[in-house]
Amino acid sequence: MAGLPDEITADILLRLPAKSLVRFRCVCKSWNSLLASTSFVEAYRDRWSKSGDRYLLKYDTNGSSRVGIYELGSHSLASLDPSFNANNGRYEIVSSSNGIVCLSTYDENDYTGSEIFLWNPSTNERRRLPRPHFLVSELIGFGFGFDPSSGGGHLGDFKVVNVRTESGFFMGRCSQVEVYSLRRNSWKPISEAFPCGIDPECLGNQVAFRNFVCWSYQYDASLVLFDLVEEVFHRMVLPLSMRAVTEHISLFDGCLSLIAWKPSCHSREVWIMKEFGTVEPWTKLYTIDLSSASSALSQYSPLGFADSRGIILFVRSSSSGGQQLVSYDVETARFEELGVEVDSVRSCRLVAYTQSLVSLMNTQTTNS
Amino acid sequence: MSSSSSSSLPPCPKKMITLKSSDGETFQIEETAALQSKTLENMIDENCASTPIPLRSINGKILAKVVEFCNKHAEVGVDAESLHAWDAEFVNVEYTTLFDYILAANFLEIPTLLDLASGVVGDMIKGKTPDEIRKMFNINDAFSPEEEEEVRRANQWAFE
Repeated sequence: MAGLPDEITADILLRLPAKSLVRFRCVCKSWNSLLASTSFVEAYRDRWSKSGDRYLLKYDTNGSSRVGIYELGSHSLASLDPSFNANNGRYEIVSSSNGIVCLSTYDENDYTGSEIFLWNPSTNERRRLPRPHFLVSELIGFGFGFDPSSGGGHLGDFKVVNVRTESGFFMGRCSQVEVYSLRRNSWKPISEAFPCGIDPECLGNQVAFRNFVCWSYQYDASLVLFDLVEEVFHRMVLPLSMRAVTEHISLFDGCLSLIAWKPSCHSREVWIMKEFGTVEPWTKLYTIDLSSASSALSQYSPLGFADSRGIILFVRSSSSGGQQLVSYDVETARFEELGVEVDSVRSCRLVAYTQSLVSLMNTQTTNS
Repeated sequence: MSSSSSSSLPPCPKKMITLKSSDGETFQIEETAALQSKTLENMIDENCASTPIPLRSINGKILAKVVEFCNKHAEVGVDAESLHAWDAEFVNVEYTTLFDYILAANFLEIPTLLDLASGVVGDMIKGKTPDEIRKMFNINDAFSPEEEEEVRRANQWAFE
């Protein structure tokens, strides 16, 4: 029987889950080099980014960290084990971008022992980063994202920004900033200062959007952005109409989205930024009225979108002290229990990822 | 559709073209159905389709199925759901036959058939072992056992 032409074999392989392709690396030499080639990795990324994001939830239960993939059909979490030899079996997800997740084995009792990892959940490849020049006692110190500038056979670069700043009276007046680049595999201090007047303790969660790391800032309804290409900070002030307490920033359908809480109206609002850089970029997408739910509004903490059709995960605190994961469908306004107990809202982190074959080891991928 | 009015009209003569397989079988196919193949479309456009078209890389058994596929996909008024069911039945065959469909669809440039058969092969192979893949794909530049062991060790989790 005749074999298939190479381009057809490649087209068939592009359809497969990353786990199968990792296994097929040892089929033969030509498949091994095809699967590692920049052109294949890029085509794979483009194909799978069109099929929509999947979502990873990191949570702590009984004192140890777990990662699960949210499965829409069954409203359940499929367990995934990054097998980090973390301190006390605990780690935190910093953020995710372009199929790569940044984690930290943050230990609140001894933060100087923190380690940072990049992890590709599709191939289970991971890489420990060199130690930063300084470690801060709060996870807020790190931001993670993707610099799409390509060149020299690269498909862009993954970067981690580490910020140390004083809080309180001296906030923002003296700060240190350094950037790790995967391509360079080292940290480099930069002269850019953290924006003046921002209290790092009021920074909310972060999300990687295009070439920016975006943090919500709860103190005065603005966003703090770090441009990973130019390596500079920006602030984006939110319009008056959406001045509410921003609880959560995430991506929804590829757009930057905010889940905000208006204490006066007992509801939450979901805003998305349709177009970047226009005069009126923000649109209110949904109002989530929790008055019909069995528990009070304050007992629901949003973790972000878990699906491009509008499923939001919440942690619901019960009166007995337990904390449960529930999903909420914005279209039907229905809650579903996931049957997962978590230790705390703080231990939970929901991030989007796409299947990717991007390698973290070979900073120079082969061209073919 | 009412048949009384249409039956009174003389049937419109259908333009047919003839395909000849590698083993000498000939197949008649309506031009409208044949247009799904970019290769045949080009030949029709260049007026090269008046004599039987020899297809030296496709045998009669496969060509019969390809003609059947093109006829079905040229039918008017088939709803998406029943066409989907028909497609699923069409590709419910051995992988060797699927490979033949792929090669024929590639040669004749029939994107719908190529995509359909490639998708089924993808579903078929995603759970297979490297050994099974080597047999299916007729691979002859395999690693040495030592090399394979090394690559396998580095990617152990994907075998679990």
